[in-house]
Amino acid sequence: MSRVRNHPRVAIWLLALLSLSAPTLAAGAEPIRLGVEVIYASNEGQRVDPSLAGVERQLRASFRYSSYQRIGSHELVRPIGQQGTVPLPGGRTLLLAPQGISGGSVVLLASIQDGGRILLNTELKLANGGTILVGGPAHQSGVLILAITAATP
Amino acid sequence: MGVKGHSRSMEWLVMQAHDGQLPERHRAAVAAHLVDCAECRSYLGATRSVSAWLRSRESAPEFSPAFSEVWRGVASRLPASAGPLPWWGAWRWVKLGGWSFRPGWLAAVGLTAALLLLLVNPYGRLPLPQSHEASVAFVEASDYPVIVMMPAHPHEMTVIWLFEQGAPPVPPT
Repeated sequence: MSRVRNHPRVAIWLLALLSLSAPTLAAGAEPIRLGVEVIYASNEGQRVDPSLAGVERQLRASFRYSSYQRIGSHELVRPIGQQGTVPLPGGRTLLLAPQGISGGSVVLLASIQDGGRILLNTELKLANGGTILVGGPAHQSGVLILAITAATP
Repeated sequence: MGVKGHSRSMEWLVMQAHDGQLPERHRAAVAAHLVDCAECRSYLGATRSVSAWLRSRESAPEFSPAFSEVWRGVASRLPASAGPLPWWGAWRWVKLGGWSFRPGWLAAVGLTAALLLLLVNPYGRLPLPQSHEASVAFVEASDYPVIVMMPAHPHEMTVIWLFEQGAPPVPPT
């Protein structure tokens, strides 16, 4: 019976030991999952790509374009401090580099480059699973809108 | 409710008389005043009526005979010696199935688990909710104007907009 009685005590000690090791887990280099949807917005037609159903409402609330077409989708998993690259139409490049987690949000450096020219350089703070829209670069007869999402796995 | 044309002190004295707490030195004066003053007598009478009504409300509720009979039956089945569990009762051994444990340990395990959760999640919260919350620490665009639009409504997203040359002149909303 004493062996059975000791089970809760053993469980408590195991939990205590785990809790001591928890800060190490939290401080470890957990990779950040980055998603980039490349959207072509224009006033040609009225079509909204069905694959953009998840963000259509946000797009329509934020912009006045009549057509939204997804022309690229990228997913990167990068540890904090490591940079990822997403090719954009027109020979441009989107650079994403998670910098850390602050206040429960992912701190992310984002840069749009055109050759050696930096079009945009910004530091974002995204809630877990949060999305920000970066738009404006010209593309064909419309513009590019990038929906950038960051999440911890 | 009060007495017109009287000072607050006389009103207070009448109330004290009603409550039976009037100091001895004022009793004769207040009694004499009540004989002469119809208003104060009326005030005292009203106060007594209110007090009587309040006392009647405080009395125990009356149950129907059927309820009382049912309650007697229930009470007869309750264990007579069931008293409150002492605080150390949580640390007594309890047998459940083939296991023997102390209920207090469940609380200890729960507290430890909560501590573990706090340490695993350094922000002391449950897994972060999925949302579109975003903020912009800084923006640099040396060649083009750029604006940051914060969402005005929950269904909107934060937008960084770059006014690049060659882009169609269709501004965001």
